[in-house]
Amino acid sequence: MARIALDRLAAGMIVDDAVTDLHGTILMQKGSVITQNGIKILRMWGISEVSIDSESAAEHSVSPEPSVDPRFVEEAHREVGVLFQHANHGSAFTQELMRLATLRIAKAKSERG
Amino acid sequence: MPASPRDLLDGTEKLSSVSAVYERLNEVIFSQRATVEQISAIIMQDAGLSARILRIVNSAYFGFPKKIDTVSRAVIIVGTQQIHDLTTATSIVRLFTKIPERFVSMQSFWKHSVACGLAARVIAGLNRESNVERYFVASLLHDVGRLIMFDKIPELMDKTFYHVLEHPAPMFKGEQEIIGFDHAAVGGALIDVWRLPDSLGEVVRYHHTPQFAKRYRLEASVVHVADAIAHAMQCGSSGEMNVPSIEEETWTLVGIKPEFLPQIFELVDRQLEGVLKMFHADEP
Repeated sequence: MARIALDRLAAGMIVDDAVTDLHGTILMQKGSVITQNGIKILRMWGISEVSIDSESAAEHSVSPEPSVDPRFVEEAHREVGVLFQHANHGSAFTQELMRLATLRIAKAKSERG
Repeated sequence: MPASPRDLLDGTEKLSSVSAVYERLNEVIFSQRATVEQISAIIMQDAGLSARILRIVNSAYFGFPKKIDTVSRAVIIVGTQQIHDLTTATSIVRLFTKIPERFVSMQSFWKHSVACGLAARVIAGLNRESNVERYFVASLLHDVGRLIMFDKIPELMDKTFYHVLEHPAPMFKGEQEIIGFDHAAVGGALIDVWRLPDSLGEVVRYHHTPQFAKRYRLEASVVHVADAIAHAMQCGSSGEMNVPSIEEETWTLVGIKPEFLPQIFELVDRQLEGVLKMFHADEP
């Protein structure tokens, strides 16, 4: 399980712990799949982060800026996978470090051409 | 095969041999009766050190709005303890000039250490710690034990590299398996031999395992997290190829949020090259 900030949520991620409002009303059940519309709803309810199944979080993590060639992003993803092979993948910090590292490597590759 | 970290430290140079000024500065500052004039006078005996301090205080690292052009103003504005810590750092960096290049280049090693130091300093600043420079210095030294190991037991370090390639594991665990102790233990022992503060020794000793630190767990945890950030940024290398694993409780203790990480990356990037240059600059 990883706690993912709302602006890092991506369609396809799977909710790992029911999302509730302040009064405990369930907004999203455990096991629901995140959609763009779902993210909008969570934002309206003022939800700041959601527990996401770690595997689906890694699989659907927000990809870097669209200006970077997807080929470089894919290569960067692979390198980051190796770089973080011993890391604690369930942690939201690791997720964010991996996202930043991917972005950084992809950018460096695209600058080199 | 060395039996303990201490066995690797025979014949290690003393800090005072690199910087005679360092020892005198140490005495004066710890006597707690030092005046700014006394401290400045000691620093000014070493032209290289004076130049380095002026470069540091005038760099993006401090970001003061006006140029500081004398050592005594630097001491007043930055503070005696901070000047002492930065002097320690610059003296130590200059102590190590060569290691077998097949492991890592010296440049790459210090790049990793300085990036870690800058990240730790930013985290300490976000947490409103009083002396952020000690975080910088502890991080700068966190992997210093590995320099000793590369120098004193290169064959065993080769063996460790192959071992972790064959059986994927963090380098420090490989060192424990092949050599019997890791670079953190060697670094801790070195700091004891040099009679640097206990806090520094404990942070270096536990920078991979902050949960075992007794008195300085927060400091060790900050350096542990900063090390992971420097690895994720791929700024230089101290011999480890991968990002270390960090327990959730360590992140909690350190007290930063994942949302802070982009800001930390940015600040480290902005200061890194400038600080690296300063450590090696001798001419004013």
